Amino acid sequence: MSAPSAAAQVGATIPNTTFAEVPYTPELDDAAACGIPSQGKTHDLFKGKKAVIIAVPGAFTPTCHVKHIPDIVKSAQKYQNKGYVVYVIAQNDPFVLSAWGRTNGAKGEVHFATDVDIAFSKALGATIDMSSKGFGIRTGRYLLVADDLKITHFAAENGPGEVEVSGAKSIDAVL
Amino acid sequence: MAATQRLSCSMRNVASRSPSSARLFSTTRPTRVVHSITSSSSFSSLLSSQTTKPAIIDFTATWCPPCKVIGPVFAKLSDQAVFKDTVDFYKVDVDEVPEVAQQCGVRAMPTFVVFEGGEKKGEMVGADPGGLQRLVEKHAKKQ
Repeated sequence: MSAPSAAAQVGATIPNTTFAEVPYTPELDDAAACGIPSQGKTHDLFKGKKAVIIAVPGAFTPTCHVKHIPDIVKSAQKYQNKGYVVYVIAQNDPFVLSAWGRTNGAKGEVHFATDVDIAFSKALGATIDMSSKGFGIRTGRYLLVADDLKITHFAAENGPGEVEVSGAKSIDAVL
Repeated sequence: MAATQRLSCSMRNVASRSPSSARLFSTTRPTRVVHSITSSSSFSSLLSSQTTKPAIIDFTATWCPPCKVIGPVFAKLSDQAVFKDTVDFYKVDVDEVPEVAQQCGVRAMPTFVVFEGGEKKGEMVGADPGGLQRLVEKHAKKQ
């Protein structure tokens, strides 16, 4: 993974980029409706809020789908009870991420959003080049916790297949 | 538009007009059709019009399967004699007029929104024919 930049330090302000999300509604679950993406600037989404942002290289891909995100969805209520909004972000488009979230049983307690142009992750120096697998440049796997736009915790995995510092256990330890 | 075209002869006149022309509303427009709102200004006119008749709007997308299922149901409701003088039926293609969809807070299609006197009075998300019927009946102007 690219080396985390100065922008990824505790105390730094999170990058102001765009996230795109198909908002959850129950009608999506039984295909009675189709979602449409809405976009928001990260500084608008997280101003005045406590946020847990988990970035993953790819929706439905082995590590993300098996080792990482399901546990986070299960624990999300816990983070919400502590006053955090929870976002899982990736390079995938909002339709894919909406489907992935619902496959994991998420019902709006975890937001699944696109890091548009992976601009947020690029600014943090936290992207991975997965061209050798045909995936192109993806977000790295990392955990970022912010309070009113200020980073209070940042940890990036060393490799795309690892979940050592960004999984549910690590989040528990930090919050 | 294709779904409404197939439904009845009375709709042929509406269907043959260019769907992309902006139409302002007048009190002499025909009823028993689903009017397309194709611009922000048409929508603003609707909200600020003096009519006390409720308006129900179908926010729809051409690529959305549930919308294709419910479209004919909505059109059939607009055709019913009981609603002729009590509800006006409209639709908005969210790709054609995204700003109107955004203004109304539409997050999924189909979304049906009822307006009365320029204010949102009811809403339903999803292609549920029974639910749609109940929504229209609930808000139809009492004679």
